[in-house]
Amino acid sequence: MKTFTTDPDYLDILSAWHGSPHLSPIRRKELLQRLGQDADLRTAIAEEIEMAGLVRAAQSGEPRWLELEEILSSSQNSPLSFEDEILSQVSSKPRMPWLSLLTRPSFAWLAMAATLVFAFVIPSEKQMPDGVARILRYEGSDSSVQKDFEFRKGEPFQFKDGLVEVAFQESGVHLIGKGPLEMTVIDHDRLFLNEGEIKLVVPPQGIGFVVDTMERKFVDLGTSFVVQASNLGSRVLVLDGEIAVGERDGKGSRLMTEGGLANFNRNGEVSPHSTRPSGVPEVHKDIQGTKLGALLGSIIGFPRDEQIPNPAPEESPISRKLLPLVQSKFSDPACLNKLKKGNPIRFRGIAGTYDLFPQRTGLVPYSENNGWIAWYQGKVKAPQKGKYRFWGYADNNLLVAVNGEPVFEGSRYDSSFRTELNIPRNNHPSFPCLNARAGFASGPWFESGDTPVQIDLLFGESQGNKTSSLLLIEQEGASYDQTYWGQPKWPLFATEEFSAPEKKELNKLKNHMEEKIMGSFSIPGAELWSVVQ
Amino acid sequence: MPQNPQSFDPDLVVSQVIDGNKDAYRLIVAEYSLLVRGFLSARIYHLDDAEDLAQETFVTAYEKLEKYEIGTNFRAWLMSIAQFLLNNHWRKYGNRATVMEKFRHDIAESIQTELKVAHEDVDESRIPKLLDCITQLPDNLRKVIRSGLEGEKISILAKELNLQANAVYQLRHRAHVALRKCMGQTTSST
Repeated sequence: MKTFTTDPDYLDILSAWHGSPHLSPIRRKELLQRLGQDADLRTAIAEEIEMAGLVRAAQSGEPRWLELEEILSSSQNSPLSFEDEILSQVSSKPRMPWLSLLTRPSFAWLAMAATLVFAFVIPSEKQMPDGVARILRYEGSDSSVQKDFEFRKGEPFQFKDGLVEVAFQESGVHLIGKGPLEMTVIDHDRLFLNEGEIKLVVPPQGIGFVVDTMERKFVDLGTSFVVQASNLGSRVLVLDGEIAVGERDGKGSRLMTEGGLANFNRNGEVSPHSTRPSGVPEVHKDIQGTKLGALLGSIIGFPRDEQIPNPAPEESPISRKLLPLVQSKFSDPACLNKLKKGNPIRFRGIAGTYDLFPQRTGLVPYSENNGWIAWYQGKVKAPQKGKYRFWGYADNNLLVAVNGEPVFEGSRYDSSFRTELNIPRNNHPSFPCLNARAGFASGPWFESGDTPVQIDLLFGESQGNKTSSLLLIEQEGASYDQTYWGQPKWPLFATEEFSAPEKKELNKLKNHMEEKIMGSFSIPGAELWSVVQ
Repeated sequence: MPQNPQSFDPDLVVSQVIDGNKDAYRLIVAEYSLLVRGFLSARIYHLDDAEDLAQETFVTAYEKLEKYEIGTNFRAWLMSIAQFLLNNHWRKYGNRATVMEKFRHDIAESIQTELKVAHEDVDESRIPKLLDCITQLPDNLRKVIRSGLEGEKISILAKELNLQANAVYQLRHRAHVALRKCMGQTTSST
């Protein structure tokens, strides 16, 4: 057998496999050709990869497989008798009060909804084993809602206020419902939403999960999304991934992708939907000009007619262009020489959408297709000596460096900051956010003491003008309020106090996030960082 | 870990689970966990994704256990589920992958047959030795192996060891050869 350990192709393939950030398209083609022609090389690579996987798994510790554990702990019976056991458990539980629905003024509407449920979606009695979903958590004042309640197929459910978390068995779908809410659990992969708002997080095995409303059916294709229903119609907001929206009669369907928002009125017509894919409000903060004690920056973009030579299809030209700046620890700005700059700007925190940012900061006209980036820099001092870490995300580019070393990268997958720099980053899907399947990202802890630190912050858009982002900071050991679903409300990273109108807008954004996106933050008070001139 | 890997009989355990001893399924998980996780970790770059798919493999296998034909090859049956889920994973996320992620996928496609052979060569009864074998490696090889977890950058490790990045891959290869030898397995390449 040949020895490959000094073969550059072998080494380049392994390097790519283990996360090398970049190989030119020509080199990638060459390597694939070589692999196609050399059986010995294929064997050597395969053995190396297989062993690396085994070693990686062995060293990563014992996995915490909660779903599997839940299945194995749920009963001592075999899979065959599992449903029978659930049936016996559920039949002894108090049922949700159907009769109370009859006393409601919306009886006629509910009756129509119920008719639809039974006519279209509930399988026949013979096909209805029980125990398809369970209440994991309830935060509210409605005493009729009980933790661990098991839903049978066709089980109606309503509550007045608060938040409920429901897990669907088999499909693994998690539902967070906000009261007042009325829905019917059809099966482990289907529900009918009569009224209220639900957010669904659908894992891979739950693909195909269906939410029916009076107007439409929404079929998940691997995503998380929010559905609202009322007597006026229904509304869907796709937080991530893709869903199919079909007619109630099964005719026609169309795909909606992340950020998509659509309203359907009671006649089934599609209302004009938001032109803002993120659905997040834009916060109007005072960002122009210089000011004593401000963290200053500038906005950068390619000149309007700039042609980017052969850009890789999924890469962000502006983030790629700025890589040398980051790699030089922000000491060599030569890569910016031919770029266009807007007006001087001040850092006022990063939160919400920034669709009009290039216009507001004087960058327009510029090459919209190649994106823009704001670079803020200066010496800052922490409010208290201690360890800190950043949290957040951006559509598309977000990077923070302290004393030249990147300490946070919260960009989307198509940013070169993410693909090329390998900055340590933890993703937190359980803290969902608008545009990132991975949820909020966090960086490693860093120290900030009495001595000010140099901060460099890059934030911007890869292409077009639909930009949103959030940048928060956590101090180790500090306690923060949490949302109902357990997400700490870390403060915005900011260096200037917000005015009353700004606070009002930020609160509006926060409420919007909590209600629509299941994300949150807090407005900094004592947590403000100071800028050292 | 299984009490006596040498004598582990998956068919016996599967029969116990189907007969109602749900806890016995934990023996299956303990016996094949590292094998499945290793298989997926070798094929998926992000360790979290690999771990999620590994769990899904065992959940699916549990749900479909009745469909397994006693007397055939349980390991092959289990791995076919893992492979199926892996294919689904790629179908689902492939269109969102970065250029380099797609390239890694192309590599995996090119060496699919060889990867299958390499995986079949892994003797699950010897896997429990792996951690012991890692501890027996010389310092520099052990350091390279320990850096194999996600998040460790080869460039940083190379700097730390005062080596070129390629030399780190060469060291890792040497470590793998040593580990296979320690585990009592053979390799076709050197």
